[in-house]
Amino acid sequence: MEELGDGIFPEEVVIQIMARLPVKSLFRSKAVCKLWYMLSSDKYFIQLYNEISRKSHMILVEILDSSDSKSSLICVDNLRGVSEFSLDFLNDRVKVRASCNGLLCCSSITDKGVLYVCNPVTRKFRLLPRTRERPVTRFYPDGEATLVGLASDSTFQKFNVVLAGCHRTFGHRPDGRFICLVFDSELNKWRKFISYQDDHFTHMNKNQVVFVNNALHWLTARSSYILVLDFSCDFWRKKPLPNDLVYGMGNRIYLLDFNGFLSIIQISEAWMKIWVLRDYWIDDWRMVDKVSLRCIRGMVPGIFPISQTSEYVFLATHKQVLVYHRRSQVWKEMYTVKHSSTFPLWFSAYAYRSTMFSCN
Amino acid sequence: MAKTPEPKRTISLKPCDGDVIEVSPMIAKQMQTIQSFIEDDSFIATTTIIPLPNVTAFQLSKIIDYLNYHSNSKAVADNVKESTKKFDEEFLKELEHDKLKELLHAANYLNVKEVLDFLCQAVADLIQDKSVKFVRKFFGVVNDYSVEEEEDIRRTHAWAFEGVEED
Repeated sequence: MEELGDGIFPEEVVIQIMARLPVKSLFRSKAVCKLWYMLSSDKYFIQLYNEISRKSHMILVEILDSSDSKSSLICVDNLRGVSEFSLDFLNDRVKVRASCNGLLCCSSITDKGVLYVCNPVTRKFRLLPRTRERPVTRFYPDGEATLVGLASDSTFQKFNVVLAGCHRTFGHRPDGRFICLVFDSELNKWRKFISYQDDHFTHMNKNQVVFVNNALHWLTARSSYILVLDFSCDFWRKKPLPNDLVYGMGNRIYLLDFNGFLSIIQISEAWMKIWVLRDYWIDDWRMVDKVSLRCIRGMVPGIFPISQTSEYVFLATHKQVLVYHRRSQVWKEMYTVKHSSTFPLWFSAYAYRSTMFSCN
Repeated sequence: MAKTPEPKRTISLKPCDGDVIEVSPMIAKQMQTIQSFIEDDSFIATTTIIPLPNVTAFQLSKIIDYLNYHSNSKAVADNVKESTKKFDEEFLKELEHDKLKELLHAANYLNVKEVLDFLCQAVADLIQDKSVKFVRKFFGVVNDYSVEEEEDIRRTHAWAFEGVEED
């Protein structure tokens, strides 16, 4: 075999290999030679990389110790198991608020109203400018906006952060005004718009926000529809749920991503049913799986689906992370928390995947 | 080589170091390079032998094995994930580094996407925890950085080098 300075493989093969490296190894490979540095920095390469990493989903769990209010992060990966995860590079005490396409939106605990968007694998972050809007801290009695959403568009390498909630001055009932602030990464600015609606959210459906079709999607507390924020027109819309979905009477429903499609998971006493929105524009929901919960019967009341692909579903309980392999129909315990005094894991678990997404 | 007439149409491939290997059109179709041969108007499946001067018999049969296994396993039940994984592991276990590299070349020459994807992942898995030096040697790449330039990269991305042993 010929050994040229550029190596034994043609460029397109090197690119395909690099695109399959974990992010840390990829950054190390920049030191191999100038060509590799150039290849790995190319815009099309980054797109290819993000496309391939789409297949490997993980979940990120913040473990909050309720006794000393300390928290640590772990990353649960179907292939590599559990690893520690750190946001120390932010040099601040933060709480993860949203996760999308490899970026995280975190709010500072020490300084209310300070938000970061970061890519934990490349350790790059962006401190968002403060919103002029004082009421952001008054949206909700605990001082946080009701909804925090992160939308990162990997094709155009830009992101939006959304803070939204019902207007209420402290101690008063909401007056129906729904205030929404949207941060645009390209303009580095917040914009604000107000609409009139009265939606309520529980902790779980605040966390579960899905970005598809250039819009963010949340499930409302009564689970009668999906609330959609469309970025192309700054407009709140409603999307119907599957017709054959039964909510209430011991059924709980959750909103998740399914390989880039919207998906609904319903958990009842005996079954976990999964719907996927095949055609976004004509609201064509299809049930794609129906999983018996018999072998985890005792845990059913406390399981919450966090993330899924066509191969597996990640679920969190109070103290455990479970993974269900859809083809082999096997349940596996991935992680069990050791401290006794933690908040439920599902309280702060997010779907996550590592990408090269740049937040700058 | 005398050919017995058979009703089943197969494609004849001649590796550089061995006898003709017959493959089903289904398998041949996955090799983009062969596919362009077949699509040529002058191609007659029963008589034409396609020469592959860049591919050895060993490499060709490995690639065919892989395609055969995976196209069969797709057709049968869903519960094959574990055995597929086992097959893939065994497949790689038999390959030393040099053989792996050569096979990747062959798969690239034949342009078989499924095998290429698989082998690229295998190489990525192999080098992911290795030092920069190892990677250079593995890929036959000459370091064209000056000492300062390389140090600069290592400093800028210091986090990526944490916990990795240099050799």
